[in-house]
Amino acid sequence: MLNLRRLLLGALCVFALLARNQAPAGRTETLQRAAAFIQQGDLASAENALQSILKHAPHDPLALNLLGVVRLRQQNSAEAADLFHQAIQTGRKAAGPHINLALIDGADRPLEAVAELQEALAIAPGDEQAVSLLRAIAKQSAMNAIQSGGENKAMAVLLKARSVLPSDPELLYDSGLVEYESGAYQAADRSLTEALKLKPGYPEALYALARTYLAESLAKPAEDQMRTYLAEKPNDPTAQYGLGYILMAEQRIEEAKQAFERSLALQPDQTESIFQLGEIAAQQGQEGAARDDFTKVLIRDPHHGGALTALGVLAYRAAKYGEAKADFERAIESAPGYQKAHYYYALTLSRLGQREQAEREFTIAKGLQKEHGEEHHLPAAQP
Amino acid sequence: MQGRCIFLTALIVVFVVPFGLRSVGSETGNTTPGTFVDITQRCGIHFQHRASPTSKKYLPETMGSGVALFDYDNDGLLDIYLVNGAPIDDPTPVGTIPKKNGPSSWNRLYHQKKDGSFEDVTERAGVAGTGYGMGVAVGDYDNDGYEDLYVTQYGHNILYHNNGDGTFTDVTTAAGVGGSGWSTSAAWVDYDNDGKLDLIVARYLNWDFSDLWCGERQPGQRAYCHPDLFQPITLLLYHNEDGKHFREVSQKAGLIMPGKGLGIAIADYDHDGYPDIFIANDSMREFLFHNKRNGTFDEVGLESEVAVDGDGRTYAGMGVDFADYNNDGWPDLIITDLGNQKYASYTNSHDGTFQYASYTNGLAGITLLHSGWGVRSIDYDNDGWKDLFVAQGHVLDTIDITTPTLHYREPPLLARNNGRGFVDVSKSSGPVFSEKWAARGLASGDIDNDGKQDVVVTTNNGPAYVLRNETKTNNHWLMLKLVGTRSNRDGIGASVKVTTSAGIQYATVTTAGSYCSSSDIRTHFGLDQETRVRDIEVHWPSGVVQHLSNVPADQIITVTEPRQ
Repeated sequence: MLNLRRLLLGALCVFALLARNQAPAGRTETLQRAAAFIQQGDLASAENALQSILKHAPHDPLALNLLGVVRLRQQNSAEAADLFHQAIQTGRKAAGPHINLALIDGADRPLEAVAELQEALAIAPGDEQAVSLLRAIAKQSAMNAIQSGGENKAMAVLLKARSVLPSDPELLYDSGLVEYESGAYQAADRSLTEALKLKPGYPEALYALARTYLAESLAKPAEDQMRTYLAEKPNDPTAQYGLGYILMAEQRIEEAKQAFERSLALQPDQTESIFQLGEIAAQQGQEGAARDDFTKVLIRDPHHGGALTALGVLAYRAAKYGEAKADFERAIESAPGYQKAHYYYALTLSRLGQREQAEREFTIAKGLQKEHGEEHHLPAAQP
Repeated sequence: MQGRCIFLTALIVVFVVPFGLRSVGSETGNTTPGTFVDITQRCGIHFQHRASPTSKKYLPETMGSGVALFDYDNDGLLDIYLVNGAPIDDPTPVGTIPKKNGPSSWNRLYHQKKDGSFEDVTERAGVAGTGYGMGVAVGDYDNDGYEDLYVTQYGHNILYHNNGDGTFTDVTTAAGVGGSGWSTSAAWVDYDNDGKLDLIVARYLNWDFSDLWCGERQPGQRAYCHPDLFQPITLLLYHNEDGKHFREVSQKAGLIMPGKGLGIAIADYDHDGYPDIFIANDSMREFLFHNKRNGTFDEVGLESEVAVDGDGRTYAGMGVDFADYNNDGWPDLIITDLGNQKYASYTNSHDGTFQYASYTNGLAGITLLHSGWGVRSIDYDNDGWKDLFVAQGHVLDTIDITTPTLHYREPPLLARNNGRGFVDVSKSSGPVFSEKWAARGLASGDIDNDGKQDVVVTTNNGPAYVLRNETKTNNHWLMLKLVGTRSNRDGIGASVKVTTSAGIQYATVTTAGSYCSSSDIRTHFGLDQETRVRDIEVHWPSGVVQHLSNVPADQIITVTEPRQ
């Protein structure tokens, strides 16, 4: 929403300029004065100036438009929208009222907002404010979808926005993000690849494409993208972790270990990198080192399902079934959807002779199996 | 001398830190790449598998078929039996059982002549098959000294009795082993140690020729349907009643869990003297049937930790081998599956359970992007460690479009066991490992009796390949042909322990394992630089324990079970 507010201020400048360029000389000064009053927050003086014009020319589109802005500032969106519509109905082709209507619609009715911006850009192709607002609305929709669902609605907005600006790399990037979140990895792959064609080296798109490839089980292409990203941003600890994670998926354990260590060097409290180093140590039979790493993770995050499970597995392997059971119970409480925790919990219960409970846990574990087998997901890029 | 030292070192490592618990990066010790040479044309094998692909993408079209390596005429030379498909109409009405309609879809028996070439004796032998063939299992079920053939098909199966004169007779009906449904791998095993081989048959799915569309609805992107869309089906277990007649006892024996079986392997994993059965199931949990020594089994896959991978995930189990890959005297498991799943290996923990070992022994890294079917643990370089030969290729002929990192056609895999884990030596092991095949079945055996394990690979809707092992090595070897007297005549199920001054090795006598295939019944041991075997200990299914001492290397010996 902050972006939208900033755009509103920007829009006022544009309208002031618009007034200067399009209005007759006498009225121009009045309109400029009104715009200045609005920017200063002196809404009463702005209204007086604008009413002086509208008294003689009630259908003056520029005055109607600026008066709509005054109403917006007065939190009277309904009247503001009415004034913008009146400005449009005068028949004078002006982008401003459409942009202002888009501002009103932006947050709650993004599709309508995009339609207004489409009108604005038809009148004023390439209008920077309209383009910025279009991108902001699309991004806001994307972020809303990522944070709280509603990917379909967001995609409708993004598709509409892309029909207005078909070659905009940022819109393609946002589309890719939403497609990724909704599990449409191939679509995300296409959007992000297109974004990178239009804007080579676009770092966020490189990172997002690496995530997408990994989710598609295309580990090598994911690695290539992540390495390209890291060539530009070698000090991004999240990306170093991401590279390590991809290399783990490729079973290139030693290289993965190095990447996690780089990530930790950049950001020593990187819990996930410590966890992965513990996983590597466990795979290599270095149980002491693994236990140390998992313990460190739990000091930072006592509810880390992966670390609790990993410690449980170590206890299980050491035939400390009581300890293992407690670890798995905590793990499942923290991460009820973690298949591995349920599986080892079931094995532990089986060793403890609790066969019925074990069967139940096996069934739960089976139900958590991903439809298309193993899936790998990287965290989103850090802002 | 160098090889000997390395072997000793490896054994010491195993003693201190058991195989499978160490990370395997780059191997230490010598790396002997294999040399496998394609001699198919040269030796006169001109087999072409007929899958009969249709626009409907009927599932059998992509499953391929198996191969048997066996000596049907007891001339000491392995012969080759190749299973073939049958014509499938496009479309085929539901309820149809495809039939062979002529020589182009016949199964083929190739007899090996003394000069190492093969002649097609299918017609004379009478083993052309009748339907859409899948698998083959070799075993002397009537203990007459001649190996018999069981051939699985879609619809019903065939038992060919070996008449001992170069011909076979279809005795399916009289024996009562025709079965039903879609059978895949089969295995001969004397599960009750009564001296007669019984028969276990895996069945894949409850499947018919219904017209189901799977994959994208775009030209060229219709795909074979995932097994999840079909119901599982139980195994068949035939108890050998009198050497002629069988009784289907799967319910009575406790083999009641429906599965999606593709591979079968047998071994006595808990050393209780009775053979246990592993079933590789596709995209559901794998089965380990523990033999309760009273004619019944318990399915213990989950509690034994072999039902799923090390993270609790199921996978598309296809081929399987049940062999002691770490030379600790206890059978371990290798199961092939699809790309991005990593072949599963489980190290025997000696307490009735196993530990998933693919991460620790390097197999996960080697096989991440491969799809495997037939698999055999063969010691290709005779260094005393069982290596892996895998027939590969994804099940979906559209996979290259949908997942470009995976492939419908792949080269085979040769993974060397260096005593600490597996190392992929395919690329340095000859041009065969650059060939791209939709490989399915695989059988191993010493075709030319030179002490090196050869393999035959089948491909889906393509030729079969005879791959001669020409690995350059001076390592020694020993091969045992067991002849049971109180036990079944093949000695199937016997455990053989070989002790040299360098250590021990262990093997189960079986023709089963791999995918839909049947391998040389003779038990092969690579001996590295050892020229003599200090002790051979055979645990016969009858319970008899036999020892042979101070046996010279580099020979094939026949070991006959003492009558008392």
